[in-house]
Amino acid sequence: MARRSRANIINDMLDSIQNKGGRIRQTHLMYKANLSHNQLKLYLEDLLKTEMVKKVKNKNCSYLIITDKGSEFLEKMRQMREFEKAFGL
Amino acid sequence: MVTQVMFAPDWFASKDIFIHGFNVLVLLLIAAFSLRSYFFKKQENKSYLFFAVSFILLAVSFLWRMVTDITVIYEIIKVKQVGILDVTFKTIYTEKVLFVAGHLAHYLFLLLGLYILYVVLNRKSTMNHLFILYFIIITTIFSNFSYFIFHLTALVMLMGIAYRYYLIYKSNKRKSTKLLFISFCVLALSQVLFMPVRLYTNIYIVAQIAQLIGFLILLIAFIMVMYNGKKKSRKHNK
Repeated sequence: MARRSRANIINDMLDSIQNKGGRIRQTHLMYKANLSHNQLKLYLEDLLKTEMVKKVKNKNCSYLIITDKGSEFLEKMRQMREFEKAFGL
Repeated sequence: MVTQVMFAPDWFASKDIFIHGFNVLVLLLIAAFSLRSYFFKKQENKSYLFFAVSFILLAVSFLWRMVTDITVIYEIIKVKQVGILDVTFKTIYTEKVLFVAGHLAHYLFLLLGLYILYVVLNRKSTMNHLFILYFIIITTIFSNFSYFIFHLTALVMLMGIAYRYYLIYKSNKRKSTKLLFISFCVLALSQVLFMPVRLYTNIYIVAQIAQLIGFLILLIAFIMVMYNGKKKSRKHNK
């Protein structure tokens, strides 16, 4: 299997959050996006820094929420994938 | 050096500039998206870059042609002011090196653009690039003497690209790819129509309109791709 690129990992993470209704637990995200704990820590830090994802606390659990910026990133990635497939890149 | 640079009937002379302008816009739109995608993906997919380069070269080719033709039309106005030659000349002959250089640049950029696009779409190709580059330059030089050679070479390349899109369509069954296939077929047809232009001046108009339709279909395919990407996002957001 080919190694996933950085953009594809971020895309998979945001996609997993969106598929869960825009909100997910950190451990669920790790499984859904097929990441190790270290990878999750690394990329999540990036997503939080770039404000594509927000951390919120609800009772005892903390959740990750996708922001508008994150949704915009996903939209761009989907357009690019569509372009790649249609134009044969 | 005496070279015939325009084949359009007089009344159509300025109209084809707008057609070329439209072609430039469509090509730059696709090139801009491809280049933006290349940087957005942190330069990991080189195909985006080469795809953008091919479309930029094609756009530059039409832009060059526009600038050359605008200068030729300026020449018509000048001739009319003198008041002797305008009645008898249907096609314009010029000795100016600028026009020849302009059209040579148009040929060169268009053939290079098509070649890069062909290579990007056929990644497994083992063709010798230097060898092909040599033939593109030779074709460009000889196109100065025979308009036919340029259109024949462009036709072969466009047919190769269209065939590639046919194969991609067969595997992905996407409407947008089907439109791309049709678009390149129409562009190839326009090259066939350009070939006898020296014999029948009016066919130049039909060829230009065919080219316009080809680029219009290309634009529709691009808009469809953008729309499909957005539609998928909206579906996920619900």
